[in-house]
Amino acid sequence: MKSALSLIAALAASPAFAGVEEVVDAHILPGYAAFEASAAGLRKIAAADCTPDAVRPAWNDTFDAWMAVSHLKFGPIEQDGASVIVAFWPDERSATPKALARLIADQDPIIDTATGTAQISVAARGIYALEYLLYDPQFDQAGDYGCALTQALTADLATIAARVDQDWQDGYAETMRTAGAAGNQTYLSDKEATQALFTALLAGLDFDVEQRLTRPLGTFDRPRPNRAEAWRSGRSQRNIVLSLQALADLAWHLTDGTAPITDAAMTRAIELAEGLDDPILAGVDDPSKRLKIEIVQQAVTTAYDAVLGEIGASLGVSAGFNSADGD
Amino acid sequence: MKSMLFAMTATTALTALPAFAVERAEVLDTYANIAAAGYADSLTTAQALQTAVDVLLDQPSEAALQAARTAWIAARVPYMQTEAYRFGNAIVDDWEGRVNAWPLDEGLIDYVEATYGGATDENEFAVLNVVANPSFTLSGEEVDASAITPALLQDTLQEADGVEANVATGYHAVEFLLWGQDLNGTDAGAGDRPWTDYTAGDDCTNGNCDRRGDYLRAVTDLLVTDLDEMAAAWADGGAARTAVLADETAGISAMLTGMGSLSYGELAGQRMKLGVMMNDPEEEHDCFSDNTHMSHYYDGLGVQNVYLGSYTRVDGSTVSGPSLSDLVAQADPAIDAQLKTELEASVAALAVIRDKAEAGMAYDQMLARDNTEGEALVMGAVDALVIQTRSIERAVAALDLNGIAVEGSDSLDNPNAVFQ
Repeated sequence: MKSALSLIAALAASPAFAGVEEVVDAHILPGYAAFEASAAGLRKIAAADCTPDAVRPAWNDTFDAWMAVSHLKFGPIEQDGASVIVAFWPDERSATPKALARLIADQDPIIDTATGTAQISVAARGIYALEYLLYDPQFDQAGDYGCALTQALTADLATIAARVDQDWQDGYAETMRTAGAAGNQTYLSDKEATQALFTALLAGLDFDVEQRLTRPLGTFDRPRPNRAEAWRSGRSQRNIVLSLQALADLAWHLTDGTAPITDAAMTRAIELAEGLDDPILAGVDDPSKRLKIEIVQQAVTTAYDAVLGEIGASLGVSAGFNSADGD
Repeated sequence: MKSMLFAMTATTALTALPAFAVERAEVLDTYANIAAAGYADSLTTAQALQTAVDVLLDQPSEAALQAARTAWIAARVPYMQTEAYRFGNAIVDDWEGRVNAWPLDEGLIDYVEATYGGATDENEFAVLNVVANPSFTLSGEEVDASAITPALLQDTLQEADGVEANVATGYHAVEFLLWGQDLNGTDAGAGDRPWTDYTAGDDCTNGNCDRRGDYLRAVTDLLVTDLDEMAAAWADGGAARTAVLADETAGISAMLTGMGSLSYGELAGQRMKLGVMMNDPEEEHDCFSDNTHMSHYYDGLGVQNVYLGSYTRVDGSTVSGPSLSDLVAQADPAIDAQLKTELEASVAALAVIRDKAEAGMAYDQMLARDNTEGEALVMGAVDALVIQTRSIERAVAALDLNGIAVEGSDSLDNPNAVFQ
């Protein structure tokens, strides 16, 4: 009896998930296609009318689409530092407003060409730099140059989104699907591709806890509401929800839906995050609301532990190194 | 026929495991011995810095300031090679912020140029200027800073108001007090603090020379105290040595975790790639002294030291023994060969940056927007570091280290440290 039980336990623990193909087809490729399409739309709208009111809806759509893929820190998005260009955040030294203000003060003509824009500081490019231009009163009076800058940055973003989408379609999807096949220099075994996805899942949850929640929470005596992500556009809570939904989707496809503890933990974290009713996490400063944010923080940590314990063991892989290692 | 059989036997003998296979315990012993030597060297070179600082403060002169700067640069050589120990060992990681925190809002400590700006969204105390202010309010509490002591720096000012950029202690605080701000942007030149910033009486430049001197003395003394603590932790019977030897599998994981986290997230990412992409001269590790090229080089060398089980001490002698490389070679010779080659390549790429900087193109100049040559040099090293990280992951798999947890590592801080 005892041995039969052990056998069942052993079978249950053997690698049952082989979801690389599913993740590529159902999660990654559609995610980057949507990001490319929304960024192209943003470029077009900004080219026609660069005023903040006109550009904001398309910018928000693009940010939404980015949230569905922002955790994928490997492959084409890592080429030429594209992930940092698209999303330069957190910005602990306020490099973004400083770099934008300098370009505007200098009326720097480098943004007149796409090649020139690609050379400016990464702090002044991408989604978060555009947020400053579109929402921060500091840049209300940026005039014609501010308009040209919005157009240059949206075009730059669209170019990157298109390149990444194309690179996935043209080769990297196949590279992942053929992990372990002869001649595949990137993934020497199928486990290495699985490990890349598993690492992205864990690092994504870690980012939500550490950057999106712990940083604005600060301490009870010294909360840091202005460290909340994208508070100028009122997206702090929304981004947490969208990120968790994307990570739940990744976990689901990676495991073919056979990780019940993870699914339950993710579902609970998403529900709690949706229930915050605190778009910019201003509640970190209010003892009665602060607790709700801390509960979300704990729920995401629980989801992280669930992924580690349940999925990691079943896949037979450990997390690899990720770009957030270090301090 | 007989000779062919003999040949076959010989082949078998070649592919069999060596009679004296390297044991994990021996590899960990080498690892701990190198740490002990590295921190001991960091301590003695910091003591030499302390002596030079005492001379500067007792009898200020241009020569004394230069001597102190030279001693600081020499002290970085052994210390940076120990950074490969940081991420795998909780005892080191918890302590590290006291000695090497970076980047810093140096206006907390002393005067800065107007272009530095004032308080920021993130840091109310970015221009506190302790040297000029014997009392001030910090997070609602009145602070008496009339005496600048190691305790004031460590307990009150370090990470004041919960802001990491409030760095009051460690190598970079000393560096700022010896060099001052580097006001040259991405052009040539490092910080240029005059030695008269430490002169008594009317010859004092920039005010408060006595308090500045007190700060420099206190922060240097504290650095020596902190390094002494870590050297003791790796000596026989020390806490860090005991921790890493306690569990062989966890210990080997700690070695690889330290190598991978430093290579990828920290050095290649935070310290190198980001600076190039931001074109920001303040995004260089030793931004006051322009010694960044040396610090990066010795970081990379430290990673290689851990893998090859060999460290060349400040006095030229070598500490070495059975290595992680030996261990990986037993499990998978191809991965070992690959990783050795890649480590050599990253150290070589960092050496090119070092040599270029020594020849006149400082690291911050390499970050300039239009310096394509500099950018290529930095990114070459970044790429080499990223490549070796993949092989470090493969070494983890080859040694079958999956399924264990590294003691003391916070899983959320450092997911790769938990192989659960």
